[in-house]
Amino acid sequence: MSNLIETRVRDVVCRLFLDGNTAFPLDANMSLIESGICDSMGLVTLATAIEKEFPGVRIQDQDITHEAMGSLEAITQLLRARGVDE
Amino acid sequence: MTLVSPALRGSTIVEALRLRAADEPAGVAAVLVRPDRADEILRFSDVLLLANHFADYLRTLGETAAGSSPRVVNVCLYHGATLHAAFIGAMLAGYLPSMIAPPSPRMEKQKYVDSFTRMLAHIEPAFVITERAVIDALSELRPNALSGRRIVDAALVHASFDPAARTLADVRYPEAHENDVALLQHSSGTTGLQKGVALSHKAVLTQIARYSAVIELSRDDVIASWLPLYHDMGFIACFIMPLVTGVPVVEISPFDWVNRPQLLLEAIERHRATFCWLPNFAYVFMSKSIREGHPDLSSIRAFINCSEPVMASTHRAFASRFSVPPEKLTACYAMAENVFAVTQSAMHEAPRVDRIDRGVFEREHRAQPAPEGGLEFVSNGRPIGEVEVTVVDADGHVIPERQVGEICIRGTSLFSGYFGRRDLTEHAFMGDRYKTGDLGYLADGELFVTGRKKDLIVIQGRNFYPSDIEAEVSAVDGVIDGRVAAFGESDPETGTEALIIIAECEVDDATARARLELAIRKRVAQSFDCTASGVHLVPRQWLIKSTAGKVARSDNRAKYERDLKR
Repeated sequence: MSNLIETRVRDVVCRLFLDGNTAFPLDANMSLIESGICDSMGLVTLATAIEKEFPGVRIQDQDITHEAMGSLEAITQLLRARGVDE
Repeated sequence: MTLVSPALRGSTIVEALRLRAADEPAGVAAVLVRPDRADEILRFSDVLLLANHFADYLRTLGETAAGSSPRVVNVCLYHGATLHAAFIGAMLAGYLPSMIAPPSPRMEKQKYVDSFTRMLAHIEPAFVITERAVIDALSELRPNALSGRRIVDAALVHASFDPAARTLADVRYPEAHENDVALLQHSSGTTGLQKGVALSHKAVLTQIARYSAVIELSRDDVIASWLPLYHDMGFIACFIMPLVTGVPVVEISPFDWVNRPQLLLEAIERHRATFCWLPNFAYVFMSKSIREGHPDLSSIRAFINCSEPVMASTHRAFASRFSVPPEKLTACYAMAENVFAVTQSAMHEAPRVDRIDRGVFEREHRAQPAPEGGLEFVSNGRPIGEVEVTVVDADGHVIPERQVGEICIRGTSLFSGYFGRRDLTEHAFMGDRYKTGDLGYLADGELFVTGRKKDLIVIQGRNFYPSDIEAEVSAVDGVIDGRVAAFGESDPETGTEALIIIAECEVDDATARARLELAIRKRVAQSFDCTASGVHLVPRQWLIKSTAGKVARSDNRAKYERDLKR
């Protein structure tokens, strides 16, 4: 099910790594790392961009991992756990 | 402080191991650091006894093998005691050991098995000591690759080890001469596997004696590392050098570090580590990804930046983030063909930053000092020991200081040749000088590396041959066969090169183009464990080809910078 948080996260990913092109068929549970969209360094950039997109959210160092931030779905869950509402 | 260099004994690596076993068997060889687990201490005697067990196992198999002429043993294992022991064991059994990269979690199983099978075909090892998972993947996907091959399940050999069954007096050391080839270093990829760098005992031990003297390595030092051992920096500086000098290594798996970079700095603090070798990108990665806390890095005597171009901005950011004095951030120029280090910047001094005029550099290939702005290059220091570094022009003539040309080296640590490839070896030398393929200049005897003559992409300290990447991308459905260019582009934001891929296609629909770009990205990630930063789809005939029909990378790079780069 698509939702607002996920859409905003998807837009951030497309802007950072795919030249802003939102035509990319990114599945929510697709691994950003294994799909070659970004690497570990990219996850750090993504964490900073997500914090800007969702003011007040702080992503901790221990969450900048392939498990916690490796897909749109994982990031959406992380944001929900940080109290972000739809 | 007792320096290790004058105390180095033995004319071969096996003799150095035998002397260490006699002198101080209980010394710490390594401390294995893993996430969420207690650190594990490996004593030299434990490693050597397990190595001897591996050697016995190989000897038993070897004696029953008919006609096994190749003498290489590939060791393809994840970090841990077994990796150390398997490598040393192969050497004790009289083989030429060589480290090979184990599968990364990102690589597709089929892709890994394909590259593994190519490795078997190129190297024709007598044995491969590897993980159960690799053997299972081979059995499933390439069963023919196993027939007639001697693939050893390292975990099974380790499980059959009884520490009480043998003593150090039972360890058998092979006969070896200092000029014998001791080991091979391979880089990955179709092209890299053909270039096994053969190193003699003498070359390795000479390098270690000279390099350890330059960095003032002492018996009180502790090395901390997350580096893979299938690459010269991790292999020599963080495995072979500590092994023969008795300096302990605090070791983290590269897979664990990339997911939890703070593990390294925490380990430095916990174990009061004094030396740490890192490629440039790692400084940037840690400066950006470790956003909380201030690890105490005061025990460090030197961080050594090596394996990819050193950026001054990287050192400034790292020094500022972690309160490291600039004089502890040193630089080194190294390559497997010289065992490891060619030059090293001075201890206790920040490496010199040379600011030069960009226009003169581009037009005249000359590094003319220009204090205000322009380009900046970080010194890699002076040649170590008796290594002689010269810079030559296109005709092979030595050129004066501050003229940019190809870096050539000469000295007693140079490799014996590419294993079984006399043709490649002859091509790499000009007389007794090895042509590195790197571009740079000398100034006041210090080496500044400015670029690369050879077609090689260096990303996060790892070498990639563009032809390997182009061949893979070419095979993606929708890409016009043979119409792909791949090259690296320096990126100060990440401290390394960004991989740029340009592929011709005849797809117009936006969604179909996005799908094709994703397919290319995935293919690159799964084949090379590497991320493409920019994938550009261009129409047929966009790429420039040479008269020989090959994709002209430098011309296409210029066209990319002019027409595609955003």
